[in-house]
Amino acid sequence: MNQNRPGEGTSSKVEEITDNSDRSDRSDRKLEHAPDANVVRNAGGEIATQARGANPDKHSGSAGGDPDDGSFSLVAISGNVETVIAERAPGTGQIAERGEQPLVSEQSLLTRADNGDITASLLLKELEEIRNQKLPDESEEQEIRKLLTKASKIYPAGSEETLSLSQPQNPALSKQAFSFSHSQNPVGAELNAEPPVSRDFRRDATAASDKAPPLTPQQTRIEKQFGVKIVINGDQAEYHLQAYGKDNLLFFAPKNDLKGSEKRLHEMVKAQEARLTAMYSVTFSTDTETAGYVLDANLEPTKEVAHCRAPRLDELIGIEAGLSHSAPSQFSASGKALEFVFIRAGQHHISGRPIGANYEYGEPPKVYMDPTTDTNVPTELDKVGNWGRSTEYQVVHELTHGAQERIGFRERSSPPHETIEEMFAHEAGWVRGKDKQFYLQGKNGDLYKCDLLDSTKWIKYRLDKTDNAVKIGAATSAQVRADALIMPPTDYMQNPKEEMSECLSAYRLGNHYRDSIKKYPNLYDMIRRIDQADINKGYPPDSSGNYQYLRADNGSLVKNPSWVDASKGNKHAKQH
Amino acid sequence: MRNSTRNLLVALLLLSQFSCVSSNCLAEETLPPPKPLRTIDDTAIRAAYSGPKYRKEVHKLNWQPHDGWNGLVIGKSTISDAENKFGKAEKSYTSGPGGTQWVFKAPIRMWISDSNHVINAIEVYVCELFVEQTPATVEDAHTMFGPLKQVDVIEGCTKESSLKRPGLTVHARSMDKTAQVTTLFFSND
Repeated sequence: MNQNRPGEGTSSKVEEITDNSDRSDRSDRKLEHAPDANVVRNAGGEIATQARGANPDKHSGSAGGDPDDGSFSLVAISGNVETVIAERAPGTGQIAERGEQPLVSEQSLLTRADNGDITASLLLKELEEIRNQKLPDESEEQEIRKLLTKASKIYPAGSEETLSLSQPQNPALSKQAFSFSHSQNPVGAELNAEPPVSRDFRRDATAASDKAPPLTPQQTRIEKQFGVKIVINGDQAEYHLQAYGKDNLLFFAPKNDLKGSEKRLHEMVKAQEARLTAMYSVTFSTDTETAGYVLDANLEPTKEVAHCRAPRLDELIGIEAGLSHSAPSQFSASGKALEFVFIRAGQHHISGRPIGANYEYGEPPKVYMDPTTDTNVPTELDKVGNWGRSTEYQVVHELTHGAQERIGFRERSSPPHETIEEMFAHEAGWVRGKDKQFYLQGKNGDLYKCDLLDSTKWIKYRLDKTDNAVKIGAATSAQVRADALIMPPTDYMQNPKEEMSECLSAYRLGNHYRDSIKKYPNLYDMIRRIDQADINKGYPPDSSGNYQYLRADNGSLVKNPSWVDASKGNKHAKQH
Repeated sequence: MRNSTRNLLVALLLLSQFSCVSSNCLAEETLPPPKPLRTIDDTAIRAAYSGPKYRKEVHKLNWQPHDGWNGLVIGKSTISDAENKFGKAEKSYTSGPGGTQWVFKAPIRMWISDSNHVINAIEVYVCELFVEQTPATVEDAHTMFGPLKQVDVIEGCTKESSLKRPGLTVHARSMDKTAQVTTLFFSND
């Protein structure tokens, strides 16, 4: 529904329409005139940096650590003793850029694939997909180079000797050694150093893909139900969780004590749910709930009732990571907190639509997690290459739709009567035709319009002498993106609303994710201001206009030390 | 029972650390509950559209596409005609299908052909200024511009509904009878 806002624009104070043709100035002016003029405005970069530096509570967003190096730790506490069982090293908050290093060759990937390396096979598959897209030479070369750069990170120089091994040795994925001791551990034993059996913990890895002893059907069910991996080590079963790019050993128990282990995992799920509810007010579906009727392709309810399930442990970790980059977008405009609804395997929220997750406005708003998300890895750090998406990314993306609703992105401003969506569309290279549809501009003036139901199919148009759009062919998302005047950050850009979500996701994930939009300063600045507008909606600025919270470079929220708490009458910043 | 409590405690302690190294920084990192957002203040528009000036206009207009809106006819009137009526307009952005968008001080936008300067489309925002030329609710839109047919456009996972007849599209906040109309869109599509 078009949500243009009546009752504005004809007030006594009608702004002068100037003849300023500078795009940047126009953008600023229009944002100032937007419904959220007071919040969609500059939060100076210097202020943000200063605030971050002075903030005593700075954190990495996804977890504790330094906001600038992205480190985090998973710690077990027993009494007053803290034991680190997993750590993300400084600088690895995102995939760290290495210096110049030789690119992995296609031949090298072929050799690895022949040796049974699944990662190499997937990289080759992606390479083939790039070539099949028939992109312009320059773009194809660029995409291939990007892929090989990525491959080089997975197979750094000097790792060639591992080619001869039957088990793929990937430094980024290899098993980590953990030291975990717990005097109150029910098992009462101490585990030190890594288990003797090597196990592949990648997303698509199964018990059959490595040399670990096969699991019983019950153990496999527990793996699926809780999103963990079980490794049998003699009479013991180790319960592992892949998260934040590492294998984390949760606990170990007698291998036949499935009931006890299941109970323990269930308690972990409940504990994590409770913690996320306490921190972010979000709630989760349970195994006994239903999610209303399944919708048909026209989004009309069918007679089939959708059944829910409780989230898995790995999904909850991914949700937490996503929320840390998205707050306060988990609240609706009226302050109702989001509910995550997981649909049971075999059903869909929307029948016949290949969607992963989708955000639905309402009170409360809901994010439906379709069974197609079941194979997601929890966080961005757990991804191998760029296949699929992580739960973290999907949560960040879906919650940007919440942000759009919160800032009223389809409510118009006073002259020039544009919505924030239209302002964004302009900066992102879209034009709106007289049919009110958005068209993405190509480098040579061609226009592209996406199929409404299939985001991968596009029609290419050219304007004739009388400004009519004439069809001149079809294109794929990758081709459109390669030819776009302003290149969208990802292929998921069928309309300005989704492209804005992807841009906001890149901004909120921070660090290297922002590179894709930084090359367009006006667009980047607009996204920054939209994000700040959303933050300010939940945490209003003080009477002097100082923002209460700012988004740090790594995507986490940090308190602004300049913000004055009116109730206390002094600055928030702590002395230290 | 004791075993179960102990297990729960261990689980809580273990998982609580996904966000923080130090237990005492958790409270600092937990964001305070945000304040509810502002709601849209539509008092003025509701007041304007409930007065006798408006009620007098709510009757069947027998509207046809060649009637246009406010004296402007799609495919015939030009930018000069529009400027004579609504004051100077500003060209907005680049050309797209149907021409370039022009904006006025009044809440109107038009798509004007770059070649012959003819108006290809007019978008009117329902507001106090046009209280005598625009419907306030879906029910009034049916009365004034009917017959209108509800058309649903599905894009991805969202559905947007509007009311249509040849030459006119009416957008509203919802399709309920009493829902506020937001824009009228006149075009020759």
